[in-house]
Amino acid sequence: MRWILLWILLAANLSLANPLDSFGLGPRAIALGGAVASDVRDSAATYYNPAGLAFSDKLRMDFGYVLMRPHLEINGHSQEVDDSRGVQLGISVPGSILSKRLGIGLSVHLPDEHISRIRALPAQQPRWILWDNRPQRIVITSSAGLELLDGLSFGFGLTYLANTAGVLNLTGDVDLADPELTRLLAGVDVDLTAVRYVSAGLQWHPDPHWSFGLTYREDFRLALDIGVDVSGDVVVGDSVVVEQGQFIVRSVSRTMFSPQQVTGSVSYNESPLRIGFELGWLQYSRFPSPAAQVDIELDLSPLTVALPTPAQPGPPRFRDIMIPRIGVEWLTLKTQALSMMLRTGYFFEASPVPSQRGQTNFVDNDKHGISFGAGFEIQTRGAIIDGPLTIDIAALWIELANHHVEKSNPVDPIGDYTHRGRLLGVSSSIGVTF
Amino acid sequence: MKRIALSLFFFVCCGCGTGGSSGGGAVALPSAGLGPYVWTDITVGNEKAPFGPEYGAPYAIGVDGEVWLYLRHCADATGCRIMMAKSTDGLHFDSPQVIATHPMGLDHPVVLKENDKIKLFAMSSARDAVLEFTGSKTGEFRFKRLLPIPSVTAPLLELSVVELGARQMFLFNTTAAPTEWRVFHDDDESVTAFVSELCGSACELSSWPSLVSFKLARSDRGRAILRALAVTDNNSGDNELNVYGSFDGYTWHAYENNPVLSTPADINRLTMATDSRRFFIYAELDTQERTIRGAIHESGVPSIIY
Repeated sequence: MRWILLWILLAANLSLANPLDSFGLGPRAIALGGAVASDVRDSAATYYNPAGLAFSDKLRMDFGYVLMRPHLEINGHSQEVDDSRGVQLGISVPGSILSKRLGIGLSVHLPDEHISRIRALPAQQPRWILWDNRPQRIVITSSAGLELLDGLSFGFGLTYLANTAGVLNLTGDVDLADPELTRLLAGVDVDLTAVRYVSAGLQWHPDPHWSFGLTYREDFRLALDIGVDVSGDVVVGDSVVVEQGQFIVRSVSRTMFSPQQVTGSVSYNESPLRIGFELGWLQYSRFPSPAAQVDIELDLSPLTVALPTPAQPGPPRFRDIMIPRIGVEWLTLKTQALSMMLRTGYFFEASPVPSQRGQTNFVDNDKHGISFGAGFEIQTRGAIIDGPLTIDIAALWIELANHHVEKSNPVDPIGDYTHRGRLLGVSSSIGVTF
Repeated sequence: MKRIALSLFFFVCCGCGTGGSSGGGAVALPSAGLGPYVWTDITVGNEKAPFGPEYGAPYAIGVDGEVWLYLRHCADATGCRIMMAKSTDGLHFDSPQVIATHPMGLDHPVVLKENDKIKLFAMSSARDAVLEFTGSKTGEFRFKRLLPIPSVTAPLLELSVVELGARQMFLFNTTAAPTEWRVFHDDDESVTAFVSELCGSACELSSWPSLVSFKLARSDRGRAILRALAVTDNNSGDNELNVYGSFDGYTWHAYENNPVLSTPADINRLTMATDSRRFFIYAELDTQERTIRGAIHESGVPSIIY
């Protein structure tokens, strides 16, 4: 059974991202504020630190669900940003290679509303720049962790995301004098190409109490590439005015960006208490402009017809941010049949968006995330189930601090505005050990 | 195992549910609402007819999601008076009601709204005085006083009133010098030239034209902004409407999408307003059939309130 699962895992070596950056993966990690990279070992390690998979002891499957409900408003008006909700499935498979511990994991976040979402608005149009598209995405993460030395492991993962490029081809004759005589044939050519990014991590357990983790995630960006290619003759009556004229429009919109990330994590475990702390660096300064970049080419020679060059969006000048996280877990009950843990966590995510005093209106706020949760381990043993049945629940509250934007120009079409919000979410899962 | 599998199936599939939505995130976003505008007919009364030639000098404000339109009405020998009509969509107005009369006759209304109180300023029919009325959102207006604007020897041409802090500032010009705008501050009762820097090199205007409507706008959650809606001739003989803005009344900037509207007709007066959803411009056009027309821009929620 394990080898079948391993084969499936390797064959399906693709993964997508990234609502996990927004909310996390799995109720235990969410309840601990995401501060788990130093000691995570179950399928959530595929996202938080793939090195932790090396220390998984048994084949484990997790089945869960997450619901995040945003309440985001500008000037007191709700923008009715969609919920992010979906099934979260995970599996971690232990093994060994050359007498070293090896673990492989796969996690899936499957939204039940939008499989994917693309929205590109004009730069001047206010929009929740990190919430419009980011949570609406299928995520499949696959990773492997290998114990290098006693207590030290290395993990690696690959992610593939779908990229969209499409061209509408129109060919034929354009009659300048009589539009009824214009004949154009249409064809659509759309490619779904892959974008790949890497994640890697280290996990070190020098003694039974202390654990350390280091995680790296490569940045990635998704673009919506749409083109219109019109080519053909321009005729007036029976005479050809332009032979093989061409009109090409290409629009490239950066619809999603996830920054390069480095996370350092430490945790201390002295039963019944476990405390974890984590500090992440996110390179948002490479955030590309989310506004569409439009290029137009018009070739009607020998006619001298020119089109104005469309304005190109400037860099949004986002800034790098640090995210501190802390999580506390307390084993409150331990009997032969049942264990119960209470959890709480906190993180602060400063907004990477600079002051929007100019023409752009990328809306984002500093975020305070507070979470609570509980975990139950029910001892079961049967022919197939060979370990505890775990039930985890978590509640997450992300408060987006009130932010006021004052425009520098009194004729700014949008003017001053205030934005704020909160996201409330719950997550639950059942874990089965085989 | 079968029981567990069934439990998990129901947990994942039934407990979660699936739905779908229209794709939120762009609802009620602040609107880039200063144009371009499109002229549109506006109607009044049960017959939904255009405003007749007896109506003129429109001035509009947004009140609780409605547009209230104040007009000069000169129907009979009793002289001109001020009437007011309400609209829930900014395009069709209820039958106007008389809200202010005076033996001197009334013309060119200007309205300031302060919570439930409303101040009405109007020129006398001879345009040689400014009268102040006080009222509320629900009642008629009472005459309060004649404003002592000194040093005005020619009839007034245009008048705008803006309230900056505790000060009321009256901006006006006269028929004798239409492009020389002057300022009268209610608290010091002196008249001075309206010295302002207009757009610098970014603005084709070197000075204000004769027809300008100054109004205090406010961002929904922000600062007060002085807005000017000015009419200029273009080279083709059309009249163009241009929007300018200022935080201090001294330094003015031109809106990047100027002109926001144009018309071959002469314009006698114009005003700008918002309801909870759209931006409106109303103008008295000096056509053969003198009429009030509107112009509309709708997109999102107005972030600027007039």
